[in-house]
Amino acid sequence: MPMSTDTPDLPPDLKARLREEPTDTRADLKAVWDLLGAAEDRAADGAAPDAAWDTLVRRYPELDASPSDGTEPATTDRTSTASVSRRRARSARPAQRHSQWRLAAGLALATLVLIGGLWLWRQPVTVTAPAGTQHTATLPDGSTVELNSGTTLTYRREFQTWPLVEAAQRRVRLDGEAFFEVADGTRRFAVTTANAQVTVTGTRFNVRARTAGASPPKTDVAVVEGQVQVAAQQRPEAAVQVEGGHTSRVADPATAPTPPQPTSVDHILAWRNNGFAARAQPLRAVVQDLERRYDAVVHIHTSVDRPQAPISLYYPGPTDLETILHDLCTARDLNYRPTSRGFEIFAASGSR
Amino acid sequence: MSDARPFDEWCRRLKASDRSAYAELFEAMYGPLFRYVRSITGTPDTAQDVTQDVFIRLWEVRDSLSPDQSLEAYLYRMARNRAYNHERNQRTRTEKEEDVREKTPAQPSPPTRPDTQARADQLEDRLWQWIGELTERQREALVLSRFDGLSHDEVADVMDISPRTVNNHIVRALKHLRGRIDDYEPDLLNADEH
Repeated sequence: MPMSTDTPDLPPDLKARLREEPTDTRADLKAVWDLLGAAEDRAADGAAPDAAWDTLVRRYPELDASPSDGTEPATTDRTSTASVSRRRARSARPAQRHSQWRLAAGLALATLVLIGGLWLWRQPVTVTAPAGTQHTATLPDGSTVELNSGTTLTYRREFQTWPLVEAAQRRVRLDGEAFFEVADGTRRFAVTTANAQVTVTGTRFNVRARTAGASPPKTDVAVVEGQVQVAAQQRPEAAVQVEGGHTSRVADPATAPTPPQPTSVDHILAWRNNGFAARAQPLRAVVQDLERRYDAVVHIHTSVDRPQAPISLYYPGPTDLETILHDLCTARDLNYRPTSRGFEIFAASGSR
Repeated sequence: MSDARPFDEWCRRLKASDRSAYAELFEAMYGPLFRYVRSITGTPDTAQDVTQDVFIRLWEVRDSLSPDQSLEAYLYRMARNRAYNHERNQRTRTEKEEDVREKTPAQPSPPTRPDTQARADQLEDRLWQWIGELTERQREALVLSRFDGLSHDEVADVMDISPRTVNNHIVRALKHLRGRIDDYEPDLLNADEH
């Protein structure tokens, strides 16, 4: 076996060391050393320098030599920047784009969250008294509102247009009937109904503005104490001052309210004491009120003639539905009977 | 090996927080350090983590680098410490004293290709399998010397042993490989002479 003493690839130390080995061993080991060259390609299998660089730049963003910077330290060796440029082109720029994208996405998300939060915040607060129930609510300014059965009241959160920005008015929107005790305040307190505006600064008054079943809707305002302004939606200039013990009605959004008339406020506010009152109302309207008040179905049989004929009732204190129906039927010479969900009113036996 | 890699200059610029020096160093040294770490830890994933960690640490300690010391050796020593720490933690965690050879990187079996290519791939597989059979120190010294091109003095510095021991590790490694190659295909050893 020919000797190969000249083994240029071997490190000098190893070469010297191999001289201690027998000749053929020396040659074999040199051959092994050379053969290992075949394994070199795979030595770095699994290396991911780009991923590592991205991680480094994420951790230390100052390492990202972005081209826009351009302020290389004076010590930079220009001749040795070729590999750097390559690296920049390969890793740094994508990494930078990545981080910019992340930033943009983060900002977009934050904006969305903010907008979403504001949107949620701007949703009106709704207070409801379902049929058969009554509910007292305290408003952000300390005013209290008693809602009669089947009433919805909405207002802006905290009476603010935006967080920490006070609205010009303390405005509530009413569909149904409610009694207001308005706390004194510099800002006007305004009740908006389907067709009217009722504005005050501090007083007690009742607003009845039911849209369900009454078409066109009407708004009845009865003032207990203080003074309120009542105006039709489309005639704000034709407002009417209503004082304690008086009532006014807006029948149409384009027609000025009726002049204030003295009224029995107790009748109007009977509902607040779980009583019931009706003043010269058609039977059909009274029955609607009863249904709402007691969350029952009261059917008017076709045998009943003159269902629109007015009727008056007044119960100042708690009363149950059947008592009212009994009185009502007696007054009108009608009969009633229970059904699965409530009652039916029908004409007295003579006409059946 | 200080050929085209100006470690002294890199060290000086790195101390001044020159990020382009850092990038150049990364470009030049990521592969070699990865190879070395992998010879200790076995799996590529771990090697990737450890190597990355070395570079993170390098940037953190750039101020305190000493121009009198070899930056290259410093990097290797950092890599070595971290790799062994990782191995130690790994072992304590799994509570098993696995033999080194069992943690040998499982080289993917290459698709069967005809002729010399298939044969070369197969040889590569075998070589790595046999390298995996070496002791940790033998493999370390061999990889540093053969693949990373470190001088024996440098290898000795990194491994904290004498150059003579480096030689012994390498010679023993070569002898072990020779035995395997001889069993596998003796002609390979004589290829040069024929």
